[in-house]
Amino acid sequence: MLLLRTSKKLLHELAKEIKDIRAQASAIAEDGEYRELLATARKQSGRSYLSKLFIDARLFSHYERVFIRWPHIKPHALVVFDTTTMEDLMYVLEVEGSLFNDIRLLLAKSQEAHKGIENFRDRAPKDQKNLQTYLRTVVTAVFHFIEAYLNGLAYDCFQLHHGQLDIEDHDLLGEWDSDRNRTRYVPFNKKLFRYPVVVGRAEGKRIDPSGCKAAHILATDGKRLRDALTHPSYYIDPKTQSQQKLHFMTGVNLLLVEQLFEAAKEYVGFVESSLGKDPKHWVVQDNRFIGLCETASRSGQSSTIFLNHRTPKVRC
Amino acid sequence: MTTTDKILVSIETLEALYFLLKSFQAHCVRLSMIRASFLATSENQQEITSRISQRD
Repeated sequence: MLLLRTSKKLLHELAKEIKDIRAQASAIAEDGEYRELLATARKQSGRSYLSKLFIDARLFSHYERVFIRWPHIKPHALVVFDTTTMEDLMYVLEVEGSLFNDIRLLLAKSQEAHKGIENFRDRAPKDQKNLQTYLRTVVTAVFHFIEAYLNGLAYDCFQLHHGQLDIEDHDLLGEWDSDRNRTRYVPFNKKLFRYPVVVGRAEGKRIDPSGCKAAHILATDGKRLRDALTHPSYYIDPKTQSQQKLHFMTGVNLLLVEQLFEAAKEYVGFVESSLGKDPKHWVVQDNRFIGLCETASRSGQSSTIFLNHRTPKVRC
Repeated sequence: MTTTDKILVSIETLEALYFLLKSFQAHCVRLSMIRASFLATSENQQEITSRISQRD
């Protein structure tokens, strides 16, 4: 009888605690859904990830109590969880952020190998070799970063404005061909100039990247250099009668790569500002990727990403 | 569902909420202790009740 009374008191206290937490975080889901998520996460050998989209739509409507910067975090960003540690991991994974950090690291390595020596003939052969390796990698990383940024932009718009997009914009952002029900990849330059326009339109803003100098640097010289490294070839260009890709590859230098990185940062800054985002919260500043609230975390093992997303329309 | 079951489910719910709200570290020891002490008390009580009923 005594135990029963104690048990009822304990149950009452626990119920009150649950009610209070639910109210504080504006919990949306049923209690069972939270327990299910924890149980699923516990089964993972790697880490688990929940997208901001999923958290906002299905779990809590006031997650800024966990991450103060929550309103400024991109919807596609993933919050990282790990049940194997008692520590609460305060990481948010944004692929573009990870790639941005790759660039910074590799650029620092390039500068280290460069040693401030302007004439490459004066540089120690080993340093020169390392420098070329780092520079080639920075170029590809810059384009990976921009592509991740643009794809993130497209994904968020696709998820948030799905119902309002016309079929052309829907297919462009989803890299989809609705007529043929199949994937249709969008060329890099088209993403560079069209995605901000479509996203801006969906958000009631007029954006014109054609006037952005950085976009043109990325689309022309930058893209040629990137193509030479991504699709290396001895092919002779019929227009110039030269092995153009080899020419680009051998001509890569620190100044060029630094300019390319600056152009990438300027472009992202331009798009974000045009979309009305506060530069203090989501713009690359002083060589730091402000968009990230924490260092991105990577898992080397299998992991689960809980999805709550829309896929391109499939016509049956 | 018995009161014991309800208590265990509530503890699991709290653990899940704290885990998802990144406050697990601050609460998991307390919740584990509540669970352990409750289970221990509950099992002792069941054992006593069972012995009494066997004696009777």
